[in-house]
Amino acid sequence: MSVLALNEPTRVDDDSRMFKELLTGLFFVLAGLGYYFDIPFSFSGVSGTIIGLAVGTLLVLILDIPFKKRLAKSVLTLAALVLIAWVYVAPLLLGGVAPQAVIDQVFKLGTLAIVFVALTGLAWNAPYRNLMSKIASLPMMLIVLVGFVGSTIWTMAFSLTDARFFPVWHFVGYNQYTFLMTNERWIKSLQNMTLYAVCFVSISFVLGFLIAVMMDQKIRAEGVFRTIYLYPFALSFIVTGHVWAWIMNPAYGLEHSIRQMGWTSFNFDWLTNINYSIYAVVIAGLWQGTGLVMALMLAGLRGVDDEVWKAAKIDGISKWRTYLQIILPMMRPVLITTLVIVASGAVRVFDLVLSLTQGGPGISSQVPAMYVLEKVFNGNLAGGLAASTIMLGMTSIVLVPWVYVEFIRGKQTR
Amino acid sequence: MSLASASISVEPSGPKPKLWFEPGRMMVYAVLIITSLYWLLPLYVMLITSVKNLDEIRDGNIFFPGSHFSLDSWYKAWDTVCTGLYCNGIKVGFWNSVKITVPSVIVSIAVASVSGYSLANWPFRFAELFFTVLIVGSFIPYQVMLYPLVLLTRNLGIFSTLYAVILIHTIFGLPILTLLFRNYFASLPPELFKAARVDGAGFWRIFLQVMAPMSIPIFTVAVILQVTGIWNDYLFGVVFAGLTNYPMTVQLNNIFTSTMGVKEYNVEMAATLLTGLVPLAIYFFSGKYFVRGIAAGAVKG
Repeated sequence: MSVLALNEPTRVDDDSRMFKELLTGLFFVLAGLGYYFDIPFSFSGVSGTIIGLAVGTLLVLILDIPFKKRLAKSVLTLAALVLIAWVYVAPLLLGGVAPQAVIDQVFKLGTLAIVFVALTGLAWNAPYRNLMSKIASLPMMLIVLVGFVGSTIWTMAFSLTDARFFPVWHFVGYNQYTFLMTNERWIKSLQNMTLYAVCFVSISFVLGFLIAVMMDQKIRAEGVFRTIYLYPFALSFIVTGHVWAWIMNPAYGLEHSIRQMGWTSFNFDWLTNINYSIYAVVIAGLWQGTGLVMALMLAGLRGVDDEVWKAAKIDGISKWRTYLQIILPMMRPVLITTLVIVASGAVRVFDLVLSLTQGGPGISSQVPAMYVLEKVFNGNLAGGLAASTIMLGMTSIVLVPWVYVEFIRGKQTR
Repeated sequence: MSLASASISVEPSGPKPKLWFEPGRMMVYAVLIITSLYWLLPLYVMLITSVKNLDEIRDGNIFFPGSHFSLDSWYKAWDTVCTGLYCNGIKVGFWNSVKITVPSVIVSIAVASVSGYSLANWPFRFAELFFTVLIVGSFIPYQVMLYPLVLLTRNLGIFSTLYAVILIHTIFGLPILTLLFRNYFASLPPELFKAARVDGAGFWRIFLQVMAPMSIPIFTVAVILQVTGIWNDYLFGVVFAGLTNYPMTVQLNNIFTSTMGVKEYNVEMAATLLTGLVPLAIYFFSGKYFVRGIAAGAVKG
């Protein structure tokens, strides 16, 4: 990484640096004290805590405080563990609800621990290294900390309350989750989502791979074929849903047209059949998304070294066996990334169902995303948040292994 | 690092084939042609339905064009069809979508290109961590972050306005765009950056005078990716934009849910086609960049 070498810390002369550090430290102390004693204009309440944590972390990161000091690190870890243990585990053990006052204290102490770490860290920092880069990245950092991390933590925290119209912090433990698990519509939504995800992923992978292999045969007019397979991906789910709703229309669509052409016993009522409506969604989804899988697989196929093909040819391995037993395993990184993209897309499927079946007939094609949206904006806030937390859990089934392989293990072996 | 490879070739390579009529290849072509006909079918059905009249739709066959041809349903879809409370046609949604898309694309690309440049050329402590969280965050279901963001925009006083949608599109467009730009800038020869540094150029000067002019292709890819993505969005439009700013997709959906009396399938299909027209046009005119965008964004191996 030769680029890195140029980014030597730009030294600011010691006096002004000391002054700035003192100022920052003072800010931390004031913020901490004000926060702990609920002084106005400081953060209070749970939302405040989370915003406070985000801002605190941001400051720590911008000021480039090294976490190498063992003390700081262990204090931070301990605080985080206590926080998690108390909020998530204590209700399970005690059977009841953690006392409000205690939770408040824990949150406050957690925040103060971060302030403490920041203060101790200030002694060894190099805050002005690549300062402009940090300032330019501020929007990105804010989006990551508040938009992605903060929002997710907020949702998880408030899913443990009984908030209805307004996000009022009243802790009730796992009540929302136990309710969801007995809710018929939610169970149906989860089943539908799983069905959709499994069908969509498996069929699009097989189809996408087959088409990609055929496209890889040095055919003519490849660009035309690729354009055709991929164009639905440029269309929105709303458009896709309405087109397929029209094609599968029970009165004037496919069924009617085929019967008219002479096959009078032809039956295709998936859109209005409570047992098949979710498969109608799969059909529309496949039309929209298979092109993407195909394009990614084709890119993967093209990434395979020509030497591999030559070697396989010399060894007399047939073309299909080469594809299945040599090329396919070599494409594993592409396959995994595609899987994560496609599967996480399947978990949040929403517009497609909305425009194709509106979740019906009855509740037969409901999906979690619809449930969440309806509850969150219609007076069952905590229930909706709990539901969305479960969606997050479903995504992590594919996401966590991927993160491990891609980011954590990859780094260690590098 | 597995995320670093930037340009993925999706173009065919090697010499063109000479024979195409051997049996094996015929099979391949047959399968490809049949599947692509299936893929084209919905577009075709949309087109012919939108130019039929209602009688032909009721009596006729969905797969055959009618004897009658008129663009009346297109005019109606554009100008007078009811989208919920108002009957001003889908054109209202079209202009709303333009109003949402243009600033969102500009803001999100501005933020993402600078972030990508920072990450690639001026890495600060925890830059990798931020980037990882950003990429992982892009896979979290939107529903998880939706309500906190509603609260946030409400507290900022911009909920139900154009600003809110623009902000939300910037947030959710950031991961893919940052990845795109970071990988692209990292793939540029480091000597350029070093030379500019030696000549005394700073952070912004290098970005504006050295990096950006060299990055027209990746900016094109980003624009195409964002325009199609934002145009096709439904969820953020319906939640954050507010009643008067509903984008085209929301208005389209309203046509279907709010039709009173006779359902005019031809008008509905014309409106559907109109909604898909902008991304389709972009796709057909810039297919290569579109493919490059999704490939570069997705294939990190």
